[in-house]
Amino acid sequence: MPKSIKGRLISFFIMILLIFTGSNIWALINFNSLSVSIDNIMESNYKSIEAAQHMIVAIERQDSAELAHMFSESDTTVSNFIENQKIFLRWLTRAEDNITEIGEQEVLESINQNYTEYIDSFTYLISLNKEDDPKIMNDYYYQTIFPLFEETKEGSRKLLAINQNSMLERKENAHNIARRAMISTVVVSVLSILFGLIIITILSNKIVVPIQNLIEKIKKISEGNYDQKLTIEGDNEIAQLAKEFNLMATKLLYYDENNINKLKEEKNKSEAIVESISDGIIVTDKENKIQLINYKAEKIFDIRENNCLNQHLLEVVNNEKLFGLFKEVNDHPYKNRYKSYEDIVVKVESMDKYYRVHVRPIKISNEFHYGAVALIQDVTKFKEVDQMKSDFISTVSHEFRTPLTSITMGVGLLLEEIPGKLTEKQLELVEAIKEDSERLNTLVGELLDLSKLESGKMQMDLQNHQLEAVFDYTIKIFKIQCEEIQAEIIKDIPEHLSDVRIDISKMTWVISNLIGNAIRYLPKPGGKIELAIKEIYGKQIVSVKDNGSGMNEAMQKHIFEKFSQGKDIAGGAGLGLSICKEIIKAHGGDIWVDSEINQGTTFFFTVPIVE
Amino acid sequence: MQKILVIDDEKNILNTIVMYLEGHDYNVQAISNGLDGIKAAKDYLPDLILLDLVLPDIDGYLVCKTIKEFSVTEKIPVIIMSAKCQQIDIDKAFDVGALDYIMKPFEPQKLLEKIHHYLKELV
Repeated sequence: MPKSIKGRLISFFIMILLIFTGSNIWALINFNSLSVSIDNIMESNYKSIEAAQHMIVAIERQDSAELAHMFSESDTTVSNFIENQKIFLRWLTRAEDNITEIGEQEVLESINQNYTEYIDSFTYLISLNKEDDPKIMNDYYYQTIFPLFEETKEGSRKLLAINQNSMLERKENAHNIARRAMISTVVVSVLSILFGLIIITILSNKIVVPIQNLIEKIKKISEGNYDQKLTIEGDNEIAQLAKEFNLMATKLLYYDENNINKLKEEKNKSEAIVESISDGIIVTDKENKIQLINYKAEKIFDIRENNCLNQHLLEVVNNEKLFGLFKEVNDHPYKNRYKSYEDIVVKVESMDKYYRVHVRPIKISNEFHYGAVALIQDVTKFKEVDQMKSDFISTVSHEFRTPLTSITMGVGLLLEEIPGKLTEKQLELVEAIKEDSERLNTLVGELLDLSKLESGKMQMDLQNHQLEAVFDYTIKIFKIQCEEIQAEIIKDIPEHLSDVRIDISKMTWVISNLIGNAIRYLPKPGGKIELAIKEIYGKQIVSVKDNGSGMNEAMQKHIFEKFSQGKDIAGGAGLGLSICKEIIKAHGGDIWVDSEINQGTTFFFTVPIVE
Repeated sequence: MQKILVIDDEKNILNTIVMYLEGHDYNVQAISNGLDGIKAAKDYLPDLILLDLVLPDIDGYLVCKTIKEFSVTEKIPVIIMSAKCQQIDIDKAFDVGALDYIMKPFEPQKLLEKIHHYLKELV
C-alpha cells in the first residue's frame, strides 16, 4: 500500500475498478454461454423436429392417396402420391443433413429402408388390376403396405421424440446456466460492494480521523491553549501536516510564554514606577470604582489598596471634593476644562494637610474612555508659602498706601495752593510728584490684584455676555483720549456671535488694558487700533491690533511676565499684561502676542463660547 | 462752621487732612487713637467722623461700633478711610455702621466730595 494519501486514493480507485471489471467479465462469460446454448437448441433440434413433423404429414397423405387409389376411379391419386413422396424425401434429406443426437442415425437409416420398401410396394400395387381381383389387392395392402407405412411413420415419430427430448434437455441446461450466471453476478456484486465499503471505511479513518484531530487541536490553540501536540505516525501528507503543526504550536507556546513574561515584566516595572512616585495616585474606572492606589495615596488617606479595589471611591475616601472631581471627569471625559485641579484638605494626625488633586480622564487610544486618574500632590508647604506671600503682599501694599495717602493729600494741598501760592517751577515739581505717586498707587493695586488672581482668591462672576458689548463700552472710555492723539479704533466683528461666559468687569479690564497699552505705543498722529473677533472650535479669538512701534522677539517672550515692559518707553506698570494673562486663564482661555518692530503688535486671546 | 472729627494714628495723614479740610473751611478735630476718638466724639459732637481702621489701641471697627451705640453720637455719619482693600474688610465696616468706605490713598477732592455729600444730606 502506498503511503501518501494521493497514492492510497488512486490504488483504492484502481481496486474498485478491477473488481467491477472482473464482475462484468464474469457476467459476459455467462451471457455468452447462455446464448451458445440457445443457438444449439435452434441448430440441432428445431430443424429435425420440423422435418419429422413434415415427414409424418407427407406419409399420411401418401397413405390416404393409396387408399383412394384402391377404392375410387380417380386419376389424381397416383400423382398425389408422387407429389407427397417428393415432400417426404426432401424433409428426410434435411433430417439426414442434421444428425445431432445419439441414435438419430439409426432411426433415419431404418426410416429410409422402410420408406424405400413402402414405395416399391406401392409400385407393385399399381400394377395389380383392381377389377381382376379386389381381394388380392386388399390383402396386399393390409399384409405388406400398411405395416411398412406404420413403421415409417413410427420411425418419424421416434425422430421427433428424440429431438424433442433433446430440446427439453438443452432448455434445462440453458436455464441452469442463466441461474448460475445470476447467482454468481449477485455474489460478485455483493462482495465488491462489501470490499469497497471496507476500503472506504479504512481510508476515511486513515484520512479523516487525523484531520478531525487536527481541527480540534487548532480550535484549542485559537482559544489560547498553546500546549497542543499531534501524534500521527508515517510520512504521508497528514503526518507532515502534523509535524508542521507541532512545530507551529511549539513556537506559539514559546512566543506566548515569552510575551507573557515580557508583559509581566513590563507590568511589574509600571507598577513599581507607580508605587515609587512620590505623589499619590488613584485610578478609578468609569463608575468611580477604585482600580489602583499607590503607596503614597495609601499613606495620605490611611487606606490599603488590597482592601478597597473595585469599591466605590466614596466608600473608601470620604472626601466629597475629591469625589466631585472624579465624577465630573468621568461624566464628561471629552470636555475641555481649564482648571482640572482642586485643592483639598485632609486631616493627618490632627494637622490640616493640603493636597492639590489633578484629575484627568484615561482614554485608551484616545477614543475609549476607561476611567480617571488622580495625581495628588502635597501642597501644604506651598500653601504655607502662598499664605506668607499673600500676607506679605497685603502688608506691603498697606505699608505703601499709608505714606502714599499723606503724599497724595500733601500734593492736593499744594496744588490747591491752600498753604500758599506756588511758583511756576514749584507747581511743575508738585505735578511730577502727583503723577508718580499715582503710578505707585496703581502699581500697588495691581500687585495686590495679581497676587489675588495667582492664589485663586479673586472671585469670578461668570455670566453669559456678548463680547461686542464689552468692546463698545471700552471704546467709549478711550474716545476722548483717541481724539486727542488723532487715533481711530475700528471694529471687525461678524454678526450672530455666540455668547461667551465671562466676568464682565474683569474682561473689560483686560480689553481696556490691551487698548490702553496699544494707545501708548501708537504713532501720533495716524494711530489705528483694530479690534476683531473670530469664532472657531468652540471658542472666540479676540485680537487687538495696532500700527505702533512693535517689539522684538525677546520682548515678546517676556511680555506676560511680571515687571517686564519696554525699557525705552515711559509709563505703565509692568503688571498689566500679567494680570490680563491671569484673568484670561481664569476664564479658561489663552493669550499670546504677535509683533514685529515698526510693523505693529497684535494681541490675541481666546474665550470659550457658551455651548 | 461744620465740625469734622478725624481719627488716624498716622501723623502725616492726620496733619494733611486737617490742613486740607481747614483750607476748605471746616472746623476739624484730630485724634490719633481709638479710645480718645470715642471720647472726642461724645464731647465734641462732630457733624461727621473720618475714621481709620488700624489704630494703636482698639481698631476702627470697635470705635465705630461704640460711637453707633451711644444715643448722642449714633446719628453722626462715619466714613472709614483705610488702606485695607479686601471685600471682607469693607463689608465689616458697613456691618458696624459706617456710612461709606474710602480707600487709601485717595485724591483730596474725592474726600471733599464725599464730605460735602453726606453733610448736605444731614442738613
